[in-house]
This record gives sequence, C-alpha cells and structure tokens, in this order.
Amino acid sequence: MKKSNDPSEPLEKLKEENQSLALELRSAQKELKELRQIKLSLCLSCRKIRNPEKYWLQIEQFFSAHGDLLFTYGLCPECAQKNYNKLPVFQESKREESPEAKQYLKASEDPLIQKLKQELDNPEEDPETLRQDLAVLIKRYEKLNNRMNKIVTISDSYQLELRDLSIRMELLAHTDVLTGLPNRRDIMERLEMEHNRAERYKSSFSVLLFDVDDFKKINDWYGHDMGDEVLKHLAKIFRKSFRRADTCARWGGEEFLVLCPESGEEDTMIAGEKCRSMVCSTTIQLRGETVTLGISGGLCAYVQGMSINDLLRKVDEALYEAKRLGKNRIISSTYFNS
Amino acid sequence: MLDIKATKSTPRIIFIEDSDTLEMSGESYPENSFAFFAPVFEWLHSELPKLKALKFDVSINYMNSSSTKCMLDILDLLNEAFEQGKEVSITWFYQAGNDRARDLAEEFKEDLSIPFSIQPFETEEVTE
Repeated sequence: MKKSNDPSEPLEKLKEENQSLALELRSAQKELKELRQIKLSLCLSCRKIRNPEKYWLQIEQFFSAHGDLLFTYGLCPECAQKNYNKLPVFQESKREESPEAKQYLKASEDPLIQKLKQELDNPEEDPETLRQDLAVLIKRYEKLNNRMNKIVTISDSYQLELRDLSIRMELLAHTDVLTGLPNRRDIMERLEMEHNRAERYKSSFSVLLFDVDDFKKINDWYGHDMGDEVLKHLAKIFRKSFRRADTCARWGGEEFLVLCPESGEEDTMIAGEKCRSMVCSTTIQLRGETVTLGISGGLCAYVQGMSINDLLRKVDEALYEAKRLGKNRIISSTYFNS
Repeated sequence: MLDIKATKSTPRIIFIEDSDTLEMSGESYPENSFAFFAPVFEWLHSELPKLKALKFDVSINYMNSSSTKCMLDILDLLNEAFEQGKEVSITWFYQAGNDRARDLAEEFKEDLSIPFSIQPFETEEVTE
C-alpha cells in the first residue's frame, strides 16, 4: 500500500470525521427535543390521557418537518398496474371489452337454445316445432364439433412448432456456433454429472485440455477468419478421433476440453495422443499456403475426493507444462506433480 | 378505417383502401383474443357489405387457440360474402421451408370455397 508522506493527513481526516459526527449528534438531539415536546401526559390517578390544546397541530408540525420518520417510498399495486399498462407493449392488447367481444363468451344465451329450453319445458309444445328446432340445433352442433376439432388440430400444430423452437433454442444454448461442438456451459454440466457419478460409484473418468499451438501467430498472419477455419478444422478431427462416449467441447478461445468417462490416465493418454498425431499429420490450406498445426494438451485423471475445480486446475497446470516443455505434446498431471 | 398497430403479442391489422386489401401480420396471442378481434369483426360487419371486392392477406407465424377461433370465424365471414357473389380472396403466407406452417395453411383452407392461395415467403423480406 502506498504510504502518505504528510504525517498530519490522518489527523486532518479524524478532525473532519469528528466534525461530521458532531453535526449528526446535534441534529439528532434537536429531533429528540422536538419529539419530547409532543409527548402526551398520562394521569397517574385516572390513567386518562390529557389531550392538550393544539396537540394535533403540534403533531402535524413535527411530522411535516420529519416526514422521513413516517414515510418510506414504494409503489402501490394500483399505480404499479397503471404504469405497467402505459408500457408500449401493452397498450394495444389492453382494449376495453366491447359487447361484440362478450358475445362469444355467452353461448348459453343463444336464442335457439333458449327457445328449445322453453319448448322442452312446455308439455303442450307442438312436436313439429320441436323437431324443426332440433334439426337446426343438430346442424349447428355438427358445425361446432367440426370447428372445435379444427381449432384443436391447428393449436396442436402451433404448439409443436413452439416445442421445436424451444428444442432448437435449448440446443443452441449448449452449442458453440463456430465449431458446432458443445460449448463450455454444456461440458460443465456433463463434467458435473460425471463427477457425481464417479463419486457415487467410485468410477473413473479423465479430462483432456487442448490448446492450439501458436494460434495467435495464425490469427496475426492469416487473419481472424482463417483462425476460425483452423478451429473448425480441428473440431472435425476431434469429433473423429474420440470415442462416442467422450465429449469434446470448445472450452473457449482456442482451447478444447475432452471429457472421457470410464477412462483412466493410460487409456486417455492413448486417445489423446491419437488425436494429437491426427492433427499433426493433416494439413490445412490457409490463403493458398499449406499449414501444419500442432496442439498441446494437459491430462488429468479423476482421483476420489477431487473436486471439479481441482481437476480443472490440475489439467490447466499440465497444459501449461506441455507448453513450457516445447509444445505439441500431452502432459499428465501425475507426471507434472511427481 | 381499420388500423391496429402490432404489439409483441398481437398482429398488425390494417385495411388499405387503395387496393381493397385487409392485411394481418405478426403473431397473435393476446390476453383476450375476443376483445382484441372485436374491432375487426365490427369492421367486417359494417364495411364488408359496402365493398365491391376484398383481398385478405395473412402472414401470421403463431396464433393461440382463441386467436385461431377468431381467424376461423373471420374466414367464415369472408367465405359467406364470397358465396353471396362478392369478389373476395385470401392469400396465406407461410415461412418458406416450414412444412408444418404450410400444412397449417391447408388446415385453414379446408372446407372453404373462397379462392385461397398459399404462398411461401422468405423470412428476411418480412422482418424488413
């Protein structure tokens, strides 16, 4: 911390604080004095409160001077509703109900239904009239039935559309748009699941963290769009080289994280090396030039009691070590720790 | 004069006099669909008899159930006018490539005798 050169500075500060405290105290004393003035006197004998003249005026004066003691600010439900309706989005949809609108809601007031009800209640009703009205009703009923089926069919279809959309959104929220690989959020969820499983069933899993060697140079030399091409190219190789059960995700920037369930250090190292050699042995065309890429990786196999953070820290350290030792290699955290 | 501005949950509905076109576009899931569509029905009841012809252009991506009922009722009214000799036609736009939206348009078209054309549109054109 930077030390002050002026020894009088803390003293000055203290003086200032004292002054402001004194001010606060004075104002509090004044308030208390005023509050005491509006005390009500209670008779010790009859226990009645003596209500002095102009008492209410005193009360009024006190609270108008110290409104903050009485009031706190908020928004009452009625005003909240009023202001909510003022928002542009709700203006149009909040129309007053017109008689036309209500007409739909009161189907039981249909004249034909009412007429038929009366006819049915009347034992001397002419059967022919009843028959005719019933025929009209059946026709209407048929139409109504068809209409209802149609509305339900159409609504179901719109709902399916919404469901599809929500699935797409969900998928998008878990996918890295550039590479099409699962994103960091997705792999974190999987990692948590795998970690829980490993803790509960004492199973094993490992994590590999890859980083593209000299990616900054690629970006600087060929441009960011070519950098993106490199990431897409690598994503393809990652997808091909790992098992179906493994998940390879874009961890961020030029880093990829691979989660290998049911895999110990040795198996994961073999899989990781297979992937690394595939990357080294393929070339990519960048602005007409043939470029060979390299990747460095850190590996960490889960050990009982290890937290996800421990795991990620260890795999990060291992990757750092791989870079430090000259890149284009995979280093396991056990090697690094020993 | 019928000109209802679109909101997040309700479609734009406008009658363009020059071309005798009633346009409805956007999404429709108002809190109270019957209240929302009431002015449209009022307008149809009072203005449709006065018109010689009417084109009804619809591009609605999503409708809730009560809006669907209102839409079917509007189509019924137009169909009735057509059967009584008025020059009425409907063009139903759906998002190109969305087969379900196309089937939905067919669903609306079914049972009507009025000229009902189903046209695909590219999303970009509609979202300006």
